[in-house]
Amino acid sequence: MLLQLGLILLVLYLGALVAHRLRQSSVPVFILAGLGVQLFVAHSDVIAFMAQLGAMLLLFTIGLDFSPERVRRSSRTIFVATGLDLLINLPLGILVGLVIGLDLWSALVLGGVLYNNSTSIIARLIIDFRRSALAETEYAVGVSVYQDLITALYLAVLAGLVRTASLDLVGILVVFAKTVGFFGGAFLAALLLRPVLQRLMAHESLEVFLLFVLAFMVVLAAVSEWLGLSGAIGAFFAGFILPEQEFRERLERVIAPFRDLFAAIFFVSFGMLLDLTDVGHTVFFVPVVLVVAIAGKLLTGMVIGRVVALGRAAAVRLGVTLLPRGEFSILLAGLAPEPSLLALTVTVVLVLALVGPLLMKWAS
Amino acid sequence: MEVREAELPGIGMKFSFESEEGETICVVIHKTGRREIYRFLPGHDTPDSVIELSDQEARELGAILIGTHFQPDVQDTARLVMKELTIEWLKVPADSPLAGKSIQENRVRKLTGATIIAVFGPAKKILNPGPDTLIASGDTVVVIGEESQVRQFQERFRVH
Repeated sequence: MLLQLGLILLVLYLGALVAHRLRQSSVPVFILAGLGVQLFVAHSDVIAFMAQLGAMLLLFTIGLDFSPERVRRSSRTIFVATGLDLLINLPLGILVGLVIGLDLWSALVLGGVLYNNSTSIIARLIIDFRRSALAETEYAVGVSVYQDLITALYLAVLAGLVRTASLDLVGILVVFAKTVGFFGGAFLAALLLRPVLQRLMAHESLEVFLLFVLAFMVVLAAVSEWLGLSGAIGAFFAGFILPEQEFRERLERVIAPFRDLFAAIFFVSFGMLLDLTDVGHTVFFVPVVLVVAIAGKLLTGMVIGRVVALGRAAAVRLGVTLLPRGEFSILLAGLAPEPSLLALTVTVVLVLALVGPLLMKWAS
Repeated sequence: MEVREAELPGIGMKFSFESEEGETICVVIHKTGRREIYRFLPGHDTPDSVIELSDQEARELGAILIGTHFQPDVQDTARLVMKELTIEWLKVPADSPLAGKSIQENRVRKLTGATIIAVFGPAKKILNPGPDTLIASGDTVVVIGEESQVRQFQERFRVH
């Protein structure tokens, strides 16, 4: 086991080195690394468990970005933009899934895959292209952040449904009620427990702080799993509840190393599970899905631009900025009963990660 | 002059205002500490120029802009006020009435005239704290006010 882990970490190190050199997101590189690793290391339960921790930590940090205060503070136009983006891209993704012959479950998953943008890749692109102060940037980052909240709920419902594997109305309602109940509970808890949590987290010892935060996250993940939702969703809600504003630096310092390590294993594990013959099967669909993935977001940019009165050029830039998909899409794709969907998603994420910066250059 | 604030999740904070000439000046403070200053000409939505600064460069530039090294003779009154104002960094001991209470509960400004502009602790850094901000013993508060007000603050709340 140690040898296997050592090899994986070595490959990850090289992958991170390459990604840094190419100024690319490391996510696609890690998945490709996983494809290579599967030739000489077998996937195991231990790796699967570490990957699960990675997914939890990823969603935990995404959840940290939200708080009831932030939701209250955000401007109304951001919510309008988020709604437009959802209404355009989710149905479009589901539709294209059905058209290329996926079953309903997988098509629903594909909708989420194409809907969600990678917040981290987008932020990096904006910083690299010095777009931080431009008018459309507020919408690009705002929308991509709220997408994560919506996608987390969507993921929770889908995961619950896939697990019960029943498509009857009662089953759907039960899962939906559970998710909304859990989320509502988390939201209320976030408001009520804030003073208590604040006091507990203000402890001077970094060790106490770290163990409290991790325990909080894992216990909530366990509760979520017990409710029949996925553990990752519990971790997301844990991040949502914890007050992040005062502790942002501390949380970042303490959680980031764990997240980076286990998330890397999460992505490499995806690559290791990817069947090359599946990738072969999806080759024909990739162009169709890519066209929809790109056209949908460009359209979103234009529509949002029209509604919130951005200039034409700014609207085009907004659409282009919203192209990259990433970690959340891959997490979703892992849910689909159709194994080829994961391969399809990875290809789409990879191509968009490469095309995104080129189009950004073109749009400016 | 109205300064607009906007949060850019994953990036940092954006502050922008319109200058007298109608140009829009935007300052972006990145989470990494990097600063960018964007200058938009009137009627343009892409910047005319961007200045990039490291955290340290930005602080130095800020100090220069605020007039630390050289005060022009343009605003005598403003300068006089500046001379009388003092800023003090004070550590809050456990027996201070401030410890464990919010700023509002102590009616800091009403009683002393001085204003708390920042609170630092082992795990917090609150700039421009609101009235409900809690102060704990061991925190450091940054207080601004006229000399007499700050002195009164120190005596009343037993912080030195």
